Amino acid sequence: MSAGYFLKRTAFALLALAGLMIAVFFLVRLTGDPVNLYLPVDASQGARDAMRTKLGLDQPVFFQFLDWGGQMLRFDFGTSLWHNRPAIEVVLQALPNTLALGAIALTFAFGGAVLFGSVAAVRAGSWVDRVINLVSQAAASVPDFWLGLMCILVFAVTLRVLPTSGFGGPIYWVLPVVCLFARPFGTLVQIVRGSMLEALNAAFVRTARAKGAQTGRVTFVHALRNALLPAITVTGDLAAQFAGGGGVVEVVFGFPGIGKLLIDGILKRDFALVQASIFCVAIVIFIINIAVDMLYAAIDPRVRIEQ
Amino acid sequence: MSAVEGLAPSSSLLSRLKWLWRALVGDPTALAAAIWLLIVVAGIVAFNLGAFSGGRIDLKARNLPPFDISFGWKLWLGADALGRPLLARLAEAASASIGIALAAVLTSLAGGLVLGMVAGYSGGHIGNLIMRVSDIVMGFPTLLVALVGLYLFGPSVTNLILVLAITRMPAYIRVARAEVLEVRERLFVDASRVFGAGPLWILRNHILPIVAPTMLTLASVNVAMVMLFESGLSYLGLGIQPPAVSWGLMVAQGQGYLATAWWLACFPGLAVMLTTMSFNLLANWFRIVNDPTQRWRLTSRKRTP
Amino acid sequence: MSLLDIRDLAVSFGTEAGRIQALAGVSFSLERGEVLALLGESGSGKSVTAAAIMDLVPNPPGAVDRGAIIFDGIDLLALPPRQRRDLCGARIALIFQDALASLNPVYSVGWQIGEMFRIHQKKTGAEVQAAVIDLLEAVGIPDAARRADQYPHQFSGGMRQRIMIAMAVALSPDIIIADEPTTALDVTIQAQIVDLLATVRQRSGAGMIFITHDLGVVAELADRVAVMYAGRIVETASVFELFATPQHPYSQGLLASQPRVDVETPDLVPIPGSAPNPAALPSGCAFRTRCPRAQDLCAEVEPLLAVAGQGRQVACHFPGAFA
Repeated sequence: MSAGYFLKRTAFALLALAGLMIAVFFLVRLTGDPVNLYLPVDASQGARDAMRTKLGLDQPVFFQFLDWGGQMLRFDFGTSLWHNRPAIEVVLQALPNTLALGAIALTFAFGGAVLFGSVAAVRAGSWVDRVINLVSQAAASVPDFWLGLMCILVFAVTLRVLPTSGFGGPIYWVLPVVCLFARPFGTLVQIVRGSMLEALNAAFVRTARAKGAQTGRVTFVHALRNALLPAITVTGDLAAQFAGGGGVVEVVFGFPGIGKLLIDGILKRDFALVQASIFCVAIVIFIINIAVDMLYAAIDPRVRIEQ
Repeated sequence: MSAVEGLAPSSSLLSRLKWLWRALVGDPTALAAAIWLLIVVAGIVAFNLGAFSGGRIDLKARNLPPFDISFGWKLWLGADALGRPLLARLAEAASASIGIALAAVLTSLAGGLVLGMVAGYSGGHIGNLIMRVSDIVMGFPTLLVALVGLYLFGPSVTNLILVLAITRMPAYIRVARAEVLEVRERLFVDASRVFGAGPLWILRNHILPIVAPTMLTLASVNVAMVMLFESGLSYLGLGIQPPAVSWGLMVAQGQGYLATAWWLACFPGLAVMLTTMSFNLLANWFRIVNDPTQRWRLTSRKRTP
Repeated sequence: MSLLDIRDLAVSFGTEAGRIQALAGVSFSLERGEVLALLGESGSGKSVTAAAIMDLVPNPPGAVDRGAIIFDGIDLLALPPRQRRDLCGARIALIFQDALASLNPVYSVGWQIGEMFRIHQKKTGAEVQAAVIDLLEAVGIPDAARRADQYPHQFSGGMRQRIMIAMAVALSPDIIIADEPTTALDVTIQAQIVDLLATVRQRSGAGMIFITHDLGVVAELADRVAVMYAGRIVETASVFELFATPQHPYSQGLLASQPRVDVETPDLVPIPGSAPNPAALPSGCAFRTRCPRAQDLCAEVEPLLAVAGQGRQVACHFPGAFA
């Protein structure tokens, strides 16, 4: 991937990011009194006025915007009312946990999907295929928070082999990973199966067989690399979803990640936290998108930009 | 050949329906999905007709475990902390869960069609703007956008539907626009323009028939997705608010009793899963039915000439 | 002993409309070093024959119903799949019509040609690379060392077909089957590819089965011709005999419908009717609905391939010269 292309993408993404934050700025002021976003719904008028002055919301919008712009450039998203620390600090502390959780869950999901999707495609129509299909459809349809609760019920409460929630050593990661893994696994199995079926029927696979390649080679060397392309795109999408959307699972297990922070921030009306979280998530999504593009180009030579 | 024409070789409505029925029976999982959805619809109808009413809060039945028929059929799935039969609550929640999903998807569909048509037909700056914005919306995690949206605008039912609709709209916009662009190039559209046909007529007669099957498949998959999102949002407390009820909310309400009355959290979530799965399976079936090269899998019995 | 002996090969496919016979009992043979042309329209079963020899018939929905394929004394249909694939890959080569679709887009052409060595001879690395470059040069690809690392989409149609040929002759196979290799190419490129195939075959002494519907190519390349219609062989003869004195009405129709530059003909003379629907073939002789001399016998009894002279066979109740 050439440097010029990379710079163009970065510039565009920064523009989008700026646009996003500005949109949030204005939306907050257009959808009612911004003070409401910082206080519980039943706060007194006095408290509201005090907060308004404290946040500088009584100033003309133009000055607010300048102040806000300055703060953004300093990465000052305000102080989290709930944690009593700069919001950006709190968020950056939680970010690695979410990234690790998402990465582990997605790796298992992708690997498992490639394996089971290929097997299902090679044995299309057989009972193996039907079972894999049904299981993956079920996995793709399960509400992750419910799966979390059921897992807690079975493994933590009844069998007592795993903790119900909390954070610490590897054992606290097992159930969150399992819950985050289920839906992407289900979706990806379907996709891999579909694109493997297509690849296995392609003309170049027929050529490989004519050359004398046995089934293993045909499936995993010839067909798979072509079939992976759609799966990678979807995995990229899913990764982006995880960056901000794995929150429900984190909430169920009390896992200290960005998703939980965002949701808690919303429920506790801690706007600084919400703002900082949105910013971080947007950056992570941009990085993931670039990474997916690069991976795609590495696998499919037709996409590469010639030097 | 439009999907509807190509659906069956003969042209009468009755034989087309019979063919569809055979195709449905040919796929046992799709059939099971259809049956489950009928059960859910029956439950909704029964609830709205008052079949479950007359249950005053009966504290004797507090946290009653399920599968015990001796308390009557209404309490077969157990009861909650206030003694209300779970079966009734599930039926009541069903209307909210499915209703919101359907409303959101229909809004997405309509909005996507309109915006896609506008983007494709007028092109230029408006078209570009629509596509850029929809790309950005598509790039963001749906849950994130929904959460922030509900945070900013307040968690009402209308906002819930709108927020869910907007996050799903880009896919429809793309499909509609792509089709409009293609149709615009074709000669016969120019011919009808010569005859004074307006864009509405072209939409109805040229674009809709071709776009319909893709949109419908998208819609059925989306209903499943939106149901999952709504249940997640309601579980967090940002979706349906009490005293209204949805399956997701029921799971949240049952969470506190996980160790003692597991059915309170289990059955609503199970209902979400089964309904979502049914929509997904039917979407799959619908896609196979619409694809002429795959259809034979469903109706492989020889037809008598 | 013939190099390849096909006896009563029958292949059918399951479809929504029932089971269709793609090949209804095909028999022919190929001698060492000869070029046999399989001539026929689309749908006559030529490609299915090639697929059946190489074990490429998709199963389901297709299946070999009966018959024998004797290659160098070995009955291919009786071999276990692994061995069959090994044998066919190394000693019989198949060149496909659409080179772009038949080459894997994500691997370099050098890699794909080299695969022949890696699969069958377990060679590696530099040895393979050298052999690949040699092959590319032999088929006329300039700057072979650099182009071996390029991808199929970076070549023109004619070049890609040369690459397919290089892949085919890599292990010096005993038989080369070319399935309409020139149909998708420009006329000038066609000529080059036909030349290349002739050269390659001559150098290696391999037998060749050339599948085509183009009479010009047949005239140029073939030693013998087998004419196919509706999944059956209707005539076999040497190329000279076929062009000079075709016996089967279908062959006669084919030759008569060719535009000629040496004789003045005001109109083209096509064969009336169109290719038969394989699911609804006429009773008796499959060609009878388009045949100028069909009789009642033709509707009742299907004609079988019968000897009609030295090295000639015809499947017709009333073969012979037609005015």
